[in-house]
Amino acid sequence: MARIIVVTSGKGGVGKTTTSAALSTGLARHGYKTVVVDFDIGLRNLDLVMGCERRVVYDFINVINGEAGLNQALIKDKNTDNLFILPASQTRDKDALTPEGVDKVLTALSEEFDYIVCDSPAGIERGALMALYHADEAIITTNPEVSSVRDSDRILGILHSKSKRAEQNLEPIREHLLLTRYDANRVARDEMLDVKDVEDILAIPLLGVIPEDTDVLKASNQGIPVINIPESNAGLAYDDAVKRLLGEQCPMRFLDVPRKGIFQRLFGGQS
Amino acid sequence: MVTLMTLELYRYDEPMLAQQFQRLLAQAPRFFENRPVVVSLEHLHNPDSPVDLHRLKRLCADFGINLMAIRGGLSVHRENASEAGMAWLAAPPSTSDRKSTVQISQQEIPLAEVKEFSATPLHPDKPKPNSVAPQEQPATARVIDTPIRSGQQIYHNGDLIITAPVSVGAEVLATGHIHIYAPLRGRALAGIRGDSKARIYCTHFEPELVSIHGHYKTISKADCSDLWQKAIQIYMDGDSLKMTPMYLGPKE
Repeated sequence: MARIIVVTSGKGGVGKTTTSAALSTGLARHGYKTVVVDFDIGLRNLDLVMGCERRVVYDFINVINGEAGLNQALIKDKNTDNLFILPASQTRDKDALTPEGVDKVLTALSEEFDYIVCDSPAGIERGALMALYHADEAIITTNPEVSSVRDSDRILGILHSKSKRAEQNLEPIREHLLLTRYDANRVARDEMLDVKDVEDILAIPLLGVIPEDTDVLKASNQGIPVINIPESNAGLAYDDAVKRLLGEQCPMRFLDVPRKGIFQRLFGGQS
Repeated sequence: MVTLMTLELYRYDEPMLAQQFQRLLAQAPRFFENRPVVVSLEHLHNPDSPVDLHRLKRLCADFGINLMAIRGGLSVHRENASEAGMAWLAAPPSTSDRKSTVQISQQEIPLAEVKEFSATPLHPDKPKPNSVAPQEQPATARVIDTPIRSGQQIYHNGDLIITAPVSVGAEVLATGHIHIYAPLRGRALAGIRGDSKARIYCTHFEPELVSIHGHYKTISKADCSDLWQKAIQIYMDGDSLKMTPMYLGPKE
C-alpha cells in the first residue's frame, strides 16, 4: 500500500511542481519506489521540470479513459532509480479528471509503489480537489507572503472538509508546512513574513524552509530536479525536508542571514 | 445556495431517536458538525401526532445537532416551531420523487439511516433500553479545538468555545456568547438571534469584524492599536459596542 502525498497550496507559482519533483526524487533516492503524478491537466509542467517532456507518449487521462495501460504511460526517470512520472494531458482540461478514474489509477499505483506524490494544480477547483481527495499526507507549499498564507489556510480548510479522510471520518490527513522562496535578508528587512509568523497563522508542523535560490530556476530550465544539483542551498533544504518526512530529525537551515566574512565585509563581496 | 441536511422524521419517539443518534454518531462522530439541520415532517406516519419541537430540539442539541427549521407539517407544528425559535420551510412540490431534485449524497445518508429506523420493528422481544431523559438545558455550549480556516463558517445555537485559531476569512456565529482562547483573526458574531447580552471574549484580538446582536464593527490594527493582540471582551453597552481589555493573570 502506497502512502499518498499531495503537494498543494491554493495559490499558483509558489513552487508546487518544483517541490513535487524534488521530494519525489528524494524519496526515490532513499530507496522507496515512488511515482509523481501531474494533476495539472491542460497546463502540463512536471515533465519539463523532470526533464522527460520528449518521452511523453500516453498520459494520465489516456489511462483514465482506458486508451492506454498504466505501464505504457508511466515514464521511468533516467537519473534516479525507483522513480516514475505519470504526466498530465496537455490537450484536455480538468473536467477529464473523474473521481472514479482518479480512484482507479491511484488504486492501481498503490499496489506497485511505496509513495505516490500528487502535484496539485493551483486553485480550489476540480483539479485541486481531485489531487487532494485521496491524500494521506499533505505538503502545504507556502511563500512567506500574506496572500499565499491565506490561500494555504483555505486549502487546509478544504483538506478538513472535502478529502476522503474527512468525508469518511478516518484519521485526518497529516499536514506539513513547507515554506519556499524564503529570503532571510528580506525577512530581516521586514519585507517578508518570518517563519514564526507563518507557523503562527497556519498552526501546522513545519517540514522545511527552502531558501530563495537562483539554482531553482536554472535547474527547472535544464529539466533537473533541484535536489539533484550538488551544493545548491535549495537542494540541500529539500534533502532535509525529505529526511523529516521520513521521520528523521534534522535542524532547520538557511533561516538566518548568512554572516559575511571579514574580507566580504571589507570589500562588499556578493552575497 | 446553502446545503441543508434533512432529518426525515417518521415517528416521534424520543428514546428511539436518542438511540439512533447515538448509533449514527458512534459511526461518524463528526457527521453533524457545523451543519444546520432541517427536520422534515412530511413523512410522519401519523401526521396529526403532536411533536414537541422544544423537546426535539433539545434532544438534538444534546447530540450536537443544530436544528434550524422544520419542513412541511401542520399549522400546529408551525406554531410550535416558531415558539421553539425555528423557521418553517414549505415542503417541496413533489415529495414523492424528491430524489430527483437537488439532493447531495450527504443528505442521503441520514435519510437512509432514518428510513432504516422506521422500517425496523420496535424489537418487542428485546427489553426497552432505560431511556434517560435528556438533561434540561436551555442551549448547549459547543467546544471546537481544531483551527477554523479561511472560508469556513461555524454556526452554533448556544455558546461557542473555541480553543484554536480562527483564521482571516473564517466566520464564527453563535446565538449566545463566543469564547476564543487563541488568536481571533476572522469574524466573530455573537447573539445573532437577538441576544444583546451576548459577548465575545478572545485572548488574542486581531479580528476582521466583531458583531453583537447585529451591531458590528470592522477592525483594523490602525484603529485599535491599543487593543491589538490583547485579551479583549466585546459587549453591548446601550446602543454601542464596547471593547475592553480583560485581565488574564500576572504577566510572566
